[in-house]
Amino acid sequence: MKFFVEYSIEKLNFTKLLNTFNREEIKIFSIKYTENTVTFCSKLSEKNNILAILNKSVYNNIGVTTISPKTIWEKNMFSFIGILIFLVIAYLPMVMVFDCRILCTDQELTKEIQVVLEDYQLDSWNTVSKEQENLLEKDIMKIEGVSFCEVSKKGGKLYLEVKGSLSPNVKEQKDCIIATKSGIITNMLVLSGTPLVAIGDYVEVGDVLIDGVVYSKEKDKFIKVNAEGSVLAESTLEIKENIYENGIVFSKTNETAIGREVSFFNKVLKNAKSPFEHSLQEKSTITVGVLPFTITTIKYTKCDYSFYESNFQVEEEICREKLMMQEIALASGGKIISREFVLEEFVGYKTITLKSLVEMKISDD
Amino acid sequence: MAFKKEISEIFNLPVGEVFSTVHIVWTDVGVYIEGVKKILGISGEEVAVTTKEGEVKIFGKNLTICELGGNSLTLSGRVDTVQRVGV
Repeated sequence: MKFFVEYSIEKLNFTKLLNTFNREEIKIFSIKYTENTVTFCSKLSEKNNILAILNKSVYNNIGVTTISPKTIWEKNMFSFIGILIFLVIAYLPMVMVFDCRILCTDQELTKEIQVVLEDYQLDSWNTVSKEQENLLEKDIMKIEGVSFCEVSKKGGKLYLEVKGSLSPNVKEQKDCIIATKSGIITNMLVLSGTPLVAIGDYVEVGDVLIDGVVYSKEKDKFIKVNAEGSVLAESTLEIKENIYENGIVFSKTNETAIGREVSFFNKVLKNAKSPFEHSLQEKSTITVGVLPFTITTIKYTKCDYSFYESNFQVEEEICREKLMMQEIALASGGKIISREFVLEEFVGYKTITLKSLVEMKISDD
Repeated sequence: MAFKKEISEIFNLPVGEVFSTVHIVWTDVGVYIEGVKKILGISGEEVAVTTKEGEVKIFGKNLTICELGGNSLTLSGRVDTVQRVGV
């Protein structure tokens, strides 16, 4: 199989030769010319005509080379090898698997999948078809605990996305559901078992709400089942907190107040100023005349009680906030229906009680 | 000639336009000339040919003949000007 012929001629009137070819309607191509040499190509069928023209024109140094696949290969061997290597590198990842990645959170399940993969021998340098991918998907889905599986090939990597677990969380069987708080039942959802209370019933802590036993009409006997469900009830929460005067600072001023207490036969006629407003500093008693008429002068240092009051108010506000936080925590996601603060004052301290009505879950999980 | 004249009158075109045997196709990559009678001169910057309707000169850079034969010529390279002389 030969393609075309290449001619190389030295020292010629190139224009004249071209005109001859043109006149004789001989097609030539790939013409390269320098000052002394001209090279051009023609079809193999035109070879004899061209040689006849060239011989007639008496040209010296005519070089004729037949270009065949062999000569093309010899000339461009390295280029062809380069192209071949490139194609192999580009094509191989499309059909072959170099790496297999398992995307699964469960370690035990990953081990099981690896065992399956060993059967397929998809570790490296192996081809994988679409049918094989589907088969692998099916085989992985057969593993107990697998809920989802997708096999996909991206480049030279095979990705196995698997969801599921070999060690599912087994819930303990419950004989019954007991009330954790007292209250009036407002809502009940029984998933399994027999309800022993109804909406509107008042239950105490420890009362059985749902029993894990059902009556089977077919078998005419009671069957033990898992008690499952949730019960909501209106429950009263009561939280107390004390506010002590401890730590409250009395800021004294230099102002001195004098209070006089007048008494006759030790009977007090006029009281001095209340020590609540002033702190006692000095006390002196004078007897007027012979009569048992005494005037007691009491000196007080004035104190700044405003600070004391405000401090107490701040303490009270903090305490209220604290109680509300406790209430939310105790309600555990329940709905607070009403809330009431009761403030009681005692000597040296106050008590704040938060009474709230909450609709909350009273069944134990 | 009377026939050519008649046809050119029907199309309202000059005789040379209707029966032009010289076709020049000039693209970015080169020039194709049909109806080449004789090559007058070839160099990298200028190619001169005669056609049935006169002389055609092609000016440019790196001009090379890709194909020649059968009264057609294909030139490649950067063609700046195609000049028809005596048309």
